[in-house]
Amino acid sequence: MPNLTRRGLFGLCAGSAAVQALGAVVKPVRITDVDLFRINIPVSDAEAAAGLMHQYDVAKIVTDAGVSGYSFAGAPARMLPAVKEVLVGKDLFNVDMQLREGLGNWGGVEHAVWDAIGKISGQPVCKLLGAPKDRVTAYLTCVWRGPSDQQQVPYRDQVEMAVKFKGMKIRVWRPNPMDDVEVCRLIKQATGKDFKLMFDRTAHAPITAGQRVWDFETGLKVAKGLQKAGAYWLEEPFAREDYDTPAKLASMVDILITGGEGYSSLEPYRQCLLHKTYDILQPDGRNSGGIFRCRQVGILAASFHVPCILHGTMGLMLAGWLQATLAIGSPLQEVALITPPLLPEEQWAPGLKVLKSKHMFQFDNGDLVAPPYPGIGLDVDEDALARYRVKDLRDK
Amino acid sequence: MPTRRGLLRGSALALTMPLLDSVRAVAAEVKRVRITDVESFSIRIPGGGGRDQMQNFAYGVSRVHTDAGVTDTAFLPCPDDLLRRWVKPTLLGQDLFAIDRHVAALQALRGESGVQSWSGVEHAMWDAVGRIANRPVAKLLGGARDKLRVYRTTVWPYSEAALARKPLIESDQQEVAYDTQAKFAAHLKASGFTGMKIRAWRPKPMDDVDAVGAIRAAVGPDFKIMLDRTAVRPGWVWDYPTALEVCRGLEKHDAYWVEEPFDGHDIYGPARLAAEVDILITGGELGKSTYEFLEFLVNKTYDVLQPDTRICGGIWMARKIAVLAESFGVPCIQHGTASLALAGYIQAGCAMNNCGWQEIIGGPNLPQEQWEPARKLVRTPDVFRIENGYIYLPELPGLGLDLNEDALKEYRTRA
Repeated sequence: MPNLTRRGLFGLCAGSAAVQALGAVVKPVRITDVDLFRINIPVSDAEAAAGLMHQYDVAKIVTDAGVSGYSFAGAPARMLPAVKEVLVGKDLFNVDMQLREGLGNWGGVEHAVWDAIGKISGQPVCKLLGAPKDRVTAYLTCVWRGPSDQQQVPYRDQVEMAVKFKGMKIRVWRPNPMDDVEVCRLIKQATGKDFKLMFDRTAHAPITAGQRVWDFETGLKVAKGLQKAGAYWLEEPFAREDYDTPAKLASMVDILITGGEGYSSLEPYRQCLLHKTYDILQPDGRNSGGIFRCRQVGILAASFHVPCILHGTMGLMLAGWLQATLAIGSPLQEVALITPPLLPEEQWAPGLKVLKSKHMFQFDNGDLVAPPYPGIGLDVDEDALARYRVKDLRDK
Repeated sequence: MPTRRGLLRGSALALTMPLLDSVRAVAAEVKRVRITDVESFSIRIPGGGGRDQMQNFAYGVSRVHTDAGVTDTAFLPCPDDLLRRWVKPTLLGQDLFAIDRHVAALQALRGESGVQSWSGVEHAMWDAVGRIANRPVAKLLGGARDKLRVYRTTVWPYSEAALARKPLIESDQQEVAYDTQAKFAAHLKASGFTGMKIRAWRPKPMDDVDAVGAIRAAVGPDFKIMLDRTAVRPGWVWDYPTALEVCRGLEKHDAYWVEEPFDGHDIYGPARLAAEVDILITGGELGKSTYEFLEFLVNKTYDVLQPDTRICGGIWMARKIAVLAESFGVPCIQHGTASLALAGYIQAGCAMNNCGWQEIIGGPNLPQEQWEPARKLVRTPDVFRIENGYIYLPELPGLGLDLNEDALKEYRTRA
């Protein structure tokens, strides 16, 4: 397996390609190997308990061009034989072909394929897919530690977190959802008209907190309450398989009704658009099948004049999501899940140990800025990856 | 609950950053590539006349220059006025790669028809993107396939006598004997091709059905035959019963599709026909936006969408339309062109997983014969590789043309 130096890698990229003499035949780049492994970056017990992100499932795509692509939103190591079956020996650049052969089952692995494509092309992935934007406004989704329904969280803590940002999303999971409506009122009172405050019901997920999927009456009552209190959107108020009830709600209220993180092929998105299920489509950068699928959903949504704002993620995983968001030109990027009182950079700090760059992502006045590096924009330190690789999953 | 300050005392952030700063050699950042100039001009390769009417000697060319030192070319023109007043002011100094943004900007300025006319520049921009990335454009846009089946759209030119008639309209093919069409189809098949399209413009529509019958008899079962009514271009539009009768007749000869049986902007007529017959009903070459194609899809207007990668606004727009079609489970088989202009079409088609064919439009000759004059403009042995009825994605970066700059300069006729 060729082990390319960084100098060698970037020699392959834009600088040299730009001045390349015409006539040089472009050889297909083949995927020669795939690796899936977990890294565990050492942190103290207190830091781990506080929610610092220190474990990632890494996907590595090795190519015969001497360049490897990485994703930190990879798949469990046990999937390796199946992933290899789909990818090894294939033309790296034929992503559509790979998706049809099953790559979409591991959307985070697809990010590593694009990382290699971007590195070989000497460009950030978003530039190869239309690149309408160089930056995107970030909003934070905050979930406090403790019971998932958040009923333990003092309202004032949620207000204090909100005032630090331009936008925030919190759960609407409290047993009495009108309590969350009251939180909405307090936060908007503290942050003002322009602050974007979103609420996430997360479809069936509150079942884990002993609740049920809302009936229409509850959804309508909460949506009207949130609307009155100045919320920006209400996310997944009903079941994911239900295309009609969110549409009915969206037609009856002014607050935006959003959803779409749970779908893994184009068809459910098409159904959502045909049924007018959501005012905003929210494909997930991994669940949907990856960067290319998100780009496809973005194209589909745009043709229906519906915004496409990705469901988010955090830490090093965010790299692939951000490329898709910038390629689509979405107005917002979710940064999730942040565990207050930690701020994103603090929560993700351990991840810096596997990068050579100073920053994981650059925030500028509330915006996430397009990373300046090729691929999905992470300058990965391969030695550090080897150092933190979990040899035996029991070690983690 | 721990405070942030407490957590960070001795945390990973404090530990890692100062230590690593000194040893971090940050990777090279990607430099933005800017467009420095855009031009469009004509070239005329010496020759032509007689049988050479079926060959391409004249081209409009669009070129994009960048500060990365690459100059990139598409063999589709951009009108001078549009270039000077709108395209240049929109593009000069801008990020080459932000094609989606540039399309939107030009759409805002000039509407969809404006976007249609600039697509030569859009193709040239993709040529630049591909050359800088050192990849064929198709590989950057999904990479669904490395070759496309070719079908030859064959339009027989007028006889000398017909050329003298006024007013001269396009040939409706009524002077062409069925046997002539059948013999050429057999020649195509013998040359490895697996499909042919002819016009369905004859004054008596069932005559075209008979022509297909003659072709089928000549080529046997394993050869696709398509009919192109071309919407309003014959000068009169079929009524529904006529279209139905033609389709039923064509089904008996196992024809593959009927293209644009009604007005090209008719959403409902083709849908009604497609629901009633088995033969595929296709269309869409005049569509200029994703919204128009969405209407076709939602209303089940066509069984196959056929965006034209020039008319729709370019490679990127065609790629978007293919995604829409894919989500509806509808094939997206691009409307075709000929000779060097094919370069962008091949790239777009090979990026789409629902595009199985590439149309090449011309007279009763082979595509290779048609683009023979253009060999003077390229350094490769042939313009495109055609084998066993497939046209191959060139193994060259960008749009895949390795141009002879000296020849381009020599044959240039207009600034």
